[in-house]
Amino acid sequence: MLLLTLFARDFRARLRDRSAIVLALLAPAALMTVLSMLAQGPDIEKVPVGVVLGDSPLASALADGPLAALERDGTLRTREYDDEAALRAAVDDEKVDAGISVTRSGDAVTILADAGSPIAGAIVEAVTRSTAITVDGVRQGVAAEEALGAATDPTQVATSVIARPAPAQVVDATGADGINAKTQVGAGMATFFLFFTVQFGVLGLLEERRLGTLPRILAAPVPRWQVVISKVLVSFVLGLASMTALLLFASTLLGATFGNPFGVALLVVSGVLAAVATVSCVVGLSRSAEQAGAIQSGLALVLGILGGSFFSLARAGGLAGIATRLTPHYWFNEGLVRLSGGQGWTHALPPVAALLAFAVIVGVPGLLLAGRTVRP
Amino acid sequence: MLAVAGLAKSYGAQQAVVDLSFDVAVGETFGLLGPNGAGKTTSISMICGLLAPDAGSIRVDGVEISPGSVEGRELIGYVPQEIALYPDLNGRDNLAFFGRLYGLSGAPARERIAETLDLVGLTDRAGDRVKEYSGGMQRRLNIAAGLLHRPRLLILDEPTVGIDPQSRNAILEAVAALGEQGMSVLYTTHYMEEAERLCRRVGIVDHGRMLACGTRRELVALVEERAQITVAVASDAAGVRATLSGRSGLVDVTATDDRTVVCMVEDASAQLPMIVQAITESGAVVTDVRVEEPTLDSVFLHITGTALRD
Repeated sequence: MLLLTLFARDFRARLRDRSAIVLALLAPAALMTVLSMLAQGPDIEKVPVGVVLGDSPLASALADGPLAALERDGTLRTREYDDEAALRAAVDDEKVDAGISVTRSGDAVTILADAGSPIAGAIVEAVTRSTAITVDGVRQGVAAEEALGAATDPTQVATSVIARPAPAQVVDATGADGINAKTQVGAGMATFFLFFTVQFGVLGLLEERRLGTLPRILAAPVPRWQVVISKVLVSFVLGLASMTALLLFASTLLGATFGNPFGVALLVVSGVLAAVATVSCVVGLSRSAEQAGAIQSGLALVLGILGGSFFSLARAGGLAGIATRLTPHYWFNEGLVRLSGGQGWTHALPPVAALLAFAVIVGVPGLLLAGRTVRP
Repeated sequence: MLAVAGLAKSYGAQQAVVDLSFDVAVGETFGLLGPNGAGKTTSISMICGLLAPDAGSIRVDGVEISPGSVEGRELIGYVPQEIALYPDLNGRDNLAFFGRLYGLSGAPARERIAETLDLVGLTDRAGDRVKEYSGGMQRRLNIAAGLLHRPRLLILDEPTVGIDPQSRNAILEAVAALGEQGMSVLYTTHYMEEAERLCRRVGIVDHGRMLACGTRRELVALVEERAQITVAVASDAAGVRATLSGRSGLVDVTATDDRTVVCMVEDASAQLPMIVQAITESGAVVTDVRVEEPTLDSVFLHITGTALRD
């Protein structure tokens, strides 16, 4: 009961503290909103592209492969034209940002782009060149088979090969590509500010020591461990409340999709434990609340950047690649990636295990260090 | 009520408290008098179970006090030197929180909080936040938080540091009243007059050691100074001097002028009635009497060789 008394006083004090509310809710929600708006900017999404295609293998490969995939993603919006002249006019009149014109025989492709839309031009060029190389490779393969006399119907073979799903349709599950930008922004901001939010509980140990109330509490018939745990509990509950509110905000108002709720809940709880472990360690190593606050803020910034709160370093090699995997932020995001596409909660277990391992490895010495503040 | 035996604490090579022993009887107000840095707060921290002693034992009402156990803590009311209160909470909520740590809740808690606020004269300001209190009011609430759970032993660590004379007087009156009600009080101070006013016995500490301990009279006896009684008479001081000379208990009698006689005595309170009676019986008229006794200041000077420093 004394634990609850200590917890209740601290928790009420934190609720009255406006800076806690700002860091736990308002600042991340505001930043999340702004970054989500930037992530769906009109220049990147739904680029209008004009096409003149035909029945050639290359035209089919383009239409059924990358163009279809990009249109499904919402990156492109294609519009068909009768011939290249009509397409040129549309580009000149800025009705479309770029165009792809394939000759009837499929032997040549013309790429058009409005000078003011370099991104659209780059997209259609990359798509067309890669498809042309693929089709050319198939042609050469077929020619080789024909020369060897193995193929009876070269056109049928070529068509069947080209009709296979393009590589662009393969989901890459190694990075953050499995979740959309809004989801990544929501998760990134929530975890980034989590490491600021949790400091409001455990830091109370140092604040109360400065205030002089800690000796008075320790002189009362209160077990010392309860004093430490009550502060840790405040950090945990604040972190949990902040993460829950922010993820709900991102999913209901910003259109983020986080996947299986139980899997997400496991990630949130283990992520908050990892954050509380970090701040416990910082408090245990600091001499004053001010020093601990400064160290924790710096650490939150470094871990956030390394962990991919703003941009993913998941594919980075070398030290950056190793460093990002040492952060709780990376594993939280990785958990969401694994839950994307309607996967069950068990897919989140490896990242949850990584977060819990972080919490134990950092948290146990952290608690012992933080316990020094109440040691006789 | 409190028995401290052989208490010791060192920080590296520095000995903060050395073999400190004393006791406080039930209902007694005991003073620990010494300058800043004498080891008073370290001693109190150990007595309250905040600090682990290197050696020695502390018992309150027979219960061993140690940092590793909460046993006996409810017997002690601790009033730290700092204002150990939450500035953003009002006075009543501060008391309610600290009361809950001692198991006070509900109607009994509300009743006790009201009583305690009344005792320290803060009933009217109970709803105001502590950061809006004056320094003296904060000090009074600081004491109230230590009294709330009706401790058997109240420990006050320099409770009047840095406050105005009016608040200081109010605190001293409140502590004196608690002593009269039968509460045992351990009071540390570096103000001689506070120790003299409040405490039946005083322990003089410096550099972590108990240098002397006893009642005021016992301590003054260590100094071998005499009390001085100065009597003003209407006339014939020389005649009065002759009347008093040779009487037992009077070490020396001098007429400093025609109307003033100065008597050096061993015990002023015992000799004063005799002196006044003898002068009156001789037909002289006493117009004024002034008694000057040795103070704890002179005791401290005698024991330590230095004046009491801040």
